[in-house]
Amino acid sequence: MKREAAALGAWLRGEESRLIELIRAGIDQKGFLELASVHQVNALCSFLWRTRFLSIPEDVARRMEPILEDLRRSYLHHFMRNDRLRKDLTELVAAFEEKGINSLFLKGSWVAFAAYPDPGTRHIADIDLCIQEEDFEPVVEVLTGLGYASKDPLPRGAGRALRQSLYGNQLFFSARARRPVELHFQVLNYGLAGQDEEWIWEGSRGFDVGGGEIRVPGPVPMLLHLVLHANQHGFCPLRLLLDLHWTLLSGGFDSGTWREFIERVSRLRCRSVAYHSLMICEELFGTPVPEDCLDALRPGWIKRATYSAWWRLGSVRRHRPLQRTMTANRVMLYLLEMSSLRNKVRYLSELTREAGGARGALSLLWSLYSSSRRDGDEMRMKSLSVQQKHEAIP
Amino acid sequence: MNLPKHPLIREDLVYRKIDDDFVVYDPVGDYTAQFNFTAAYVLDLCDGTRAKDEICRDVAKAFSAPLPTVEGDVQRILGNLASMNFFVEETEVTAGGKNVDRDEVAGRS
Repeated sequence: MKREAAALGAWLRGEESRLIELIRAGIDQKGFLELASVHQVNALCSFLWRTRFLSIPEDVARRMEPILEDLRRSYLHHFMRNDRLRKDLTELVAAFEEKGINSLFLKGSWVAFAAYPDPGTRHIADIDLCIQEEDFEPVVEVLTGLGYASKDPLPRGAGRALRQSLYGNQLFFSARARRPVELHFQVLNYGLAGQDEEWIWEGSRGFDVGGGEIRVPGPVPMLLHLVLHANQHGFCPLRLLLDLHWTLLSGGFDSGTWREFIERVSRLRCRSVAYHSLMICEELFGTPVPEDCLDALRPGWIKRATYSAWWRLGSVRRHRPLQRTMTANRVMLYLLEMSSLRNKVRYLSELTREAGGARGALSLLWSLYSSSRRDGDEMRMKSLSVQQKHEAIP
Repeated sequence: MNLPKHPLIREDLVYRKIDDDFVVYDPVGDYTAQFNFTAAYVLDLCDGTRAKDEICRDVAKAFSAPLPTVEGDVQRILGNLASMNFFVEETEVTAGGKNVDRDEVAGRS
């Protein structure tokens, strides 16, 4: 493993003496910053340095000064934009409540404020909002009223919108001076439409983001959502695995919760996904996952070997991005790792239908086959552009 | 953007002091700027009631610094703020849908 990747790993695990050793041995500062940026952990690194590494010798601190300044700028930027996000969230909820619309907020809106050690440490690109199918049109009305516009032409009717979000492109809304919104119809938004998620809505909880309350899924569906999401992106950026890490550190997982988690995972037939996501988290960051839980989820050796090869766990361990597009990952996640054979066949036929028949299906297959380096590069550009949006005034 | 006669900071900017850093977040540009103490002080004075000369005089008094030295610094800071579109544009100050004189809005005769 490259020294920069080893330093990033030690940094995120809070291993101060190992980090000092690596810095003294010499790390390429530009390479390190780029790696932290690709994995969207620069703000977190800044925070950990200031709060967890308290015995850094002077010579090491001096050596790190240029990096630390850069990391600090990232932290300040994310602190400020997440602080502003609270306003966007509470305004959305207030507008939904006025129309009697139920909503659930996923991932960033909850992990940043409830799980991470500081709200400025989690990069948040957009607001992941889950709604019920019948509320699609009123939700679009509310979003439009708040100044949002859909990125692409909107599908006609709720049914079409649901199909598009599962088998085609995500529904994405943006507005001036507001965080973009990505619309979901299922918390576990993979595979076939019409999954029973009543238990998720019934078990949802209120969460105060500071200035107002949003509703989020309970601990089990939230962890499930994060596990599947991390896998969908091939565990890159590392921030996705850190979402799991900090979620589990934030508490609320007793033996009963773990039992429910295992039961849900088994019902969804995605034990392998859950096992590998949690196992890699434990391995990379020392995440507290009960041994008996991993034992209960562990698949057979053939499954472990094929999973490791397809999802390139070796690259994940070396902090190298998976070079495959997200669409490919999303489809393959369901086809390889989830559900029953019958549902997979149905899913393939739905994908074909949504893609516009046989020709569309062929083009989809081609995109799966030829999924290239694009995703990794796009992610790199995106995180670098966020980095540059900061300026020091004299 | 040209420097307004009486600089007025946009209302939607989020301004915070985090530990020892003064930061301003612009939600429109999704942009964060970090300020030193002097720049933060100047920013605070940009409330639409002071002209550049008055800002310079206030800064010189607060920092017990000679006016000619302060003028250069203030000009640079205001220039930076204007280049980041942090000021309300003259034409944006309206009343009843009609553009009005900024001095009037700020309560000056």
